[in-house]
Amino acid sequence: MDLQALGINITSIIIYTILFVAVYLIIKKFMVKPLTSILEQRKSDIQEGLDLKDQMQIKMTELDQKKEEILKEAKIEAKKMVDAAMEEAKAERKKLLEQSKQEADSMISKAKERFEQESKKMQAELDTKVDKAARKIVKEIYLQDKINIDKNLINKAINEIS
Amino acid sequence: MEKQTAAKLYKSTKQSEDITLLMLNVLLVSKDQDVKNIIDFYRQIVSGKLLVADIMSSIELTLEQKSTLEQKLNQKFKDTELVYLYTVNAKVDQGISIIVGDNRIQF
Repeated sequence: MDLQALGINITSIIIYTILFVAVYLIIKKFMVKPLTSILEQRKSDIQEGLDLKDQMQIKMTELDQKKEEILKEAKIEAKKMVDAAMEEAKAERKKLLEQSKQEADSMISKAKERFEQESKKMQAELDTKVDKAARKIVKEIYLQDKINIDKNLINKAINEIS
Repeated sequence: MEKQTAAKLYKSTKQSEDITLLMLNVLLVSKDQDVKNIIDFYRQIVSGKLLVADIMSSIELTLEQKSTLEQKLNQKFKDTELVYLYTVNAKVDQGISIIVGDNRIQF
């Protein structure tokens, strides 16, 4: 089969092939490579960004954990402080109560002592008054009796004189 | 009044009281009395013509009691005149003590 007859020119094919290869090489050298490089660079940037994001995520998680720990510690510390304050308040309250009780006991004791002294004094005064009154009554009764007896004795003695 | 004074002097003398004090008492009580009469009565008492009836009672005797007592004693010693001296002493036993002259009246 005659290629010429088919319209196919071997030389042209070779030339076209060479040109194609040349164009291919040129495109590859001056367009594909830079583009690939750019794409690679972009990809690398994106990856770096993603890595940074991951790192940031990890850091955020760590920070959250740290925050939680700090909060927990703060809560514990606060609870300890509150507990200590409560204990101190309780101790203070207890101390105040004891002090108040002691003061009250002392006051009651003094009041009792004073009451007893007053009672004894009043009792002594009362005893003295009762004693004096009783003595006076007895003396009056005795004197009255004696007067009556003496009166009878005198009358009897006078009547007996003969 | 002078009889009683004389009787009191006689009684004081018998009780051996201070003679100076007795004389001073005579002077004191004889202001309104006749000392001569006192002396006369005193002599009568000493001689026994007058008898001192020394009546000591634990309570003051009433006028009625005194009257009854004097009547009875006058009757008992009807031959002799009595001079009555009344004194009150709460410590007298039996309510009354009567001494006429040197005799204690027993009941």
